Amino acid sequence: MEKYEKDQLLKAAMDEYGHYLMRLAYSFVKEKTKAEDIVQDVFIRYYTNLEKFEGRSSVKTFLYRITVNECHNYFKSWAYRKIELTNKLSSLFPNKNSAEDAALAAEKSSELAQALNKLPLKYREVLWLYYYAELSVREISEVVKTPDNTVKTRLARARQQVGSTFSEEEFDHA
Amino acid sequence: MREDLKKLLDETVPEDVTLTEVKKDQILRAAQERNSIRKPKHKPKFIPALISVALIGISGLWAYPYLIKEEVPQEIQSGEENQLPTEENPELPVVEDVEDKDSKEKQESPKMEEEKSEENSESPQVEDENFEEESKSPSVENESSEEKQEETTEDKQEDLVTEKTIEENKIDMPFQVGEHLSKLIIEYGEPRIDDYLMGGRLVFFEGNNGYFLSESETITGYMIYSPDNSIYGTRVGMTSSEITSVLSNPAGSFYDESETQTYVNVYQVGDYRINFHSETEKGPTIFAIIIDLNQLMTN
Repeated sequence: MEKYEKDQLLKAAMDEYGHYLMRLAYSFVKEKTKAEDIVQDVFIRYYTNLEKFEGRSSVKTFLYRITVNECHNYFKSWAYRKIELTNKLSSLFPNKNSAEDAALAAEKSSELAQALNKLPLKYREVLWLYYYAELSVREISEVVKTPDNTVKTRLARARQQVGSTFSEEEFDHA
Repeated sequence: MREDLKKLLDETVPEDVTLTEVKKDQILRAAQERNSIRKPKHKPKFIPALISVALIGISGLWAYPYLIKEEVPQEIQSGEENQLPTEENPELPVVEDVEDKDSKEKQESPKMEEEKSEENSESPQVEDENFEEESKSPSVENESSEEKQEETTEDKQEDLVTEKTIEENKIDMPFQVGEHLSKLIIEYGEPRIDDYLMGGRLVFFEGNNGYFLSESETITGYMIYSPDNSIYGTRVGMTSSEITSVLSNPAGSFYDESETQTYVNVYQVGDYRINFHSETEKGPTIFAIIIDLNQLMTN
């Protein structure tokens, strides 16, 4: 594949999915610079793997899968654990806000935002992927590497926990 | 409704969280740099491999007439081969016309015969031919009957080779590509794992081997963990060099970061693409993914 062609494909992918991936990553990590780092890594991996990309999954699913994986990796990383530890320690000092508090303050303090932040990651991610990224249950199962039925169960539980905002509806399976 | 919920979720994230044009340019540059760094790593790997493949190919072409026994009589009939080696290059092993050879043998001195036998000993293929020719009796009838015997022996050997090739040239799985999921369910019951991998639906029943399915739930490929199943004469557990010795050089190699975090060697055998995965670059393979590219295209 020619360099020019690869560049164009990357640009097209960034134009189409960049904004959504940034916001999805942010919804997970609650830190803008970290979200940027993750999205940068995602697109670099997409670029370097373009020749091997066989279209067995769509570009959209592929990008979301790597983003979700990267976010998971971030939560497992020492960097995140260090931030968590710092936050816990800083809570001992009432005058200093933690990074998470700052992020939460930056968000619109809607009920939905608060409810979402209380959700465990596994529920939060399926909710975002289904309603925000507009992936089907099947695509989500591919992204999070979980069977369809588990995705459906997680979606149902997530909606229950978030409250009445997300009304009961049938999940399309397309 | 879903649009409203999308909007609500979007509102929970600050507006300035987006991928700016500046960041896009930065990513593009970083990607290009990363790509240019990666390239030199591959060069030393492939160049020697390509050279060796080219050398093997050339030597194969040169050796072809001497290795294929059944072509010898045709060459003898045409008479073309008689002239080149004997007149222009007498050192080469000669594929001679039977009649010419007989008459020459009569004329040849014992010394010449000794020299010839020495030459023949260097090339077992030619020795066999000479031995066969020498063993021919003067009687025409005997000659023809022996020829027949030789032909039948060769036919038998050919049949054996063909059977062996057929045996090796298949993927040893109980259900074949194109068969429907319902057949698998009748045989095994409901799948114990029904999941997705690399964008394809993957089901596992009993044992360690899975089946990739198309949208129409027909088999498009396999995921084989068991070393008991032959894959064109290779097996899971063999190292990449062992597999290469059977299937020839891989069409590509890479490290699969996104899906399996394993080293992958890709082989192309007929309509099948076979990916052998291993935890280390040269270590034993741990599983194989086989995809029928025709089925993939049609679905």
